[in-house]
Amino acid sequence: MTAAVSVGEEPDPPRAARGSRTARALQTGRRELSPAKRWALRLTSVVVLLGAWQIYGRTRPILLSTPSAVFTAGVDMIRDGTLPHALATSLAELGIGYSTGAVAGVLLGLAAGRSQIVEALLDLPVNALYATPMVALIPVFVLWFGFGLTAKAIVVFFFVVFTVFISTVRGVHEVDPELIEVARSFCSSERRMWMDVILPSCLPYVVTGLRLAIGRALIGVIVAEFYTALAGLGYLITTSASNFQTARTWVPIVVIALIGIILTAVLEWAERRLARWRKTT
Amino acid sequence: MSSTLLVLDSVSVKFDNSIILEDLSLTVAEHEFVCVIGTSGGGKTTMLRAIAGLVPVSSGAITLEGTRVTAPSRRAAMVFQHFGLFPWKTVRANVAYALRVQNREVDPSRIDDLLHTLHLDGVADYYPAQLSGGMKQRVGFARALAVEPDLLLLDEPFSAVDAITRETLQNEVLRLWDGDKHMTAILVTHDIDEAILMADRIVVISGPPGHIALELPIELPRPRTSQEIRSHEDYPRIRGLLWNSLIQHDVRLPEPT
Repeated sequence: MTAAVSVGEEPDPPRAARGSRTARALQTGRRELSPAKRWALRLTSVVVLLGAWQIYGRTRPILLSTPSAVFTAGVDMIRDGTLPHALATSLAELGIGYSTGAVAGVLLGLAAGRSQIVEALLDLPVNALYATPMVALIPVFVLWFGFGLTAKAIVVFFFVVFTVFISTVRGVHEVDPELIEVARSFCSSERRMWMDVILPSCLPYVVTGLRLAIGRALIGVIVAEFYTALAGLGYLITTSASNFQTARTWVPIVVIALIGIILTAVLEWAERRLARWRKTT
Repeated sequence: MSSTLLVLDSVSVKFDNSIILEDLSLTVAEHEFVCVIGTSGGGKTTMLRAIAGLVPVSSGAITLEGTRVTAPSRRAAMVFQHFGLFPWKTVRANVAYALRVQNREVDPSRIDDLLHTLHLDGVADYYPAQLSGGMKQRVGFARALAVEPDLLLLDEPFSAVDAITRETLQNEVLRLWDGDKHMTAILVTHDIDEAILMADRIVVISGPPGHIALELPIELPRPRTSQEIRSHEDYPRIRGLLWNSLIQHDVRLPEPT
């Protein structure tokens, strides 16, 4: 037996615990930033922007306002209840519209991904509606459903459902056909095929769709509230702006940005929990 | 080597309008190790998939111990060229999958034994992405063996691993097969030496449309190693026969004189 074969007798060592950051740096020739440095730089840019705004804003307080004035206005609006009330209204619209849109998008996407009949049935309506600027439909929804929660939740639903649907279909199409064949060769039932192969494989695509949909849902809520102008964060923006209360206009805008950041972070956290195996590659 | 396990009776496979396999007949005995070789696109993998019940036959019949094969059978298990492991399952979960998907009892100690047999003890809780190609294919074998198949279907299982690992795995698979007198193996490969090392009988498929160009019993003594095989006096003759049969449908290069 040659030396080469006896070396081969040992099972090859697992290529585990490769520092992926190091491996990437070696491949790209670019040193990666350490997490501490990255955070320091992120905060620096925010501080610089706010500082510049504070200094320049003082020269034109009516038009620009300043971060400190926005902060004071925010505290006032919490105290007098306008901000909590508006936030609750918008979050309810967002929550109902986003969750129903996400569920419908995923379910329809899974069905269309696996069945060519469903896909063909949905193809034209979905593409037509996806290409139409949803904003154009808001007056129609208001006409049908009034100025209340229902109309706005439906607007959010439509802003969300197509994005989620399209990425889910894509996810089902991208399932590795070899894994389907593996499941078939081990006599998998269709139900087990979903649980073992299709759902886990399309999860990253679904999450991407859900993440893109957050931004779209926020647009939907605000634009719908602009149009209906009765309550919510979008309503606060339009009324404050038309009264030249610039600081009070900025408060809901900052709140919306925070909602977007928080929702995205929650989704990323959930994805990391669900797809722990991907971190190890 | 006694009773018949598998019969292919003038099997044809057609896709759309192209004929992939034409009028192919083959009988495989229990505990026989059959290697199927052929050039790319000749239909050898389709033949394996038809035996696995993954591809329907257009005419003729495949029977496994007297039962007509129309869908994947629990008595057969397949090992895949590109491993076919679930990246989101650990090594242990990938092996247990084979039992779980067939609603069979999953005995953790039996899974441990299997992992041990294939030298996977240390990596039971790793994910496939953390393993080398050779280790991944060990998982592929462990998964197939978990269901204690009568028929092991091997689709070029060594072609995606490095040469040294390949030789180790070939020897281990031969040992595993030798240890189970009820297990029959059909190995598809394009490696002539691999086929000579492993096979009781080599079937050369040529095509398209795929048909059997040559059936050659390999009567070299077992246990075999690649060194012994290559220095055996019959080796040049066997290799020459197979080589000629493989290239007879290709453009022939002028013979060196």
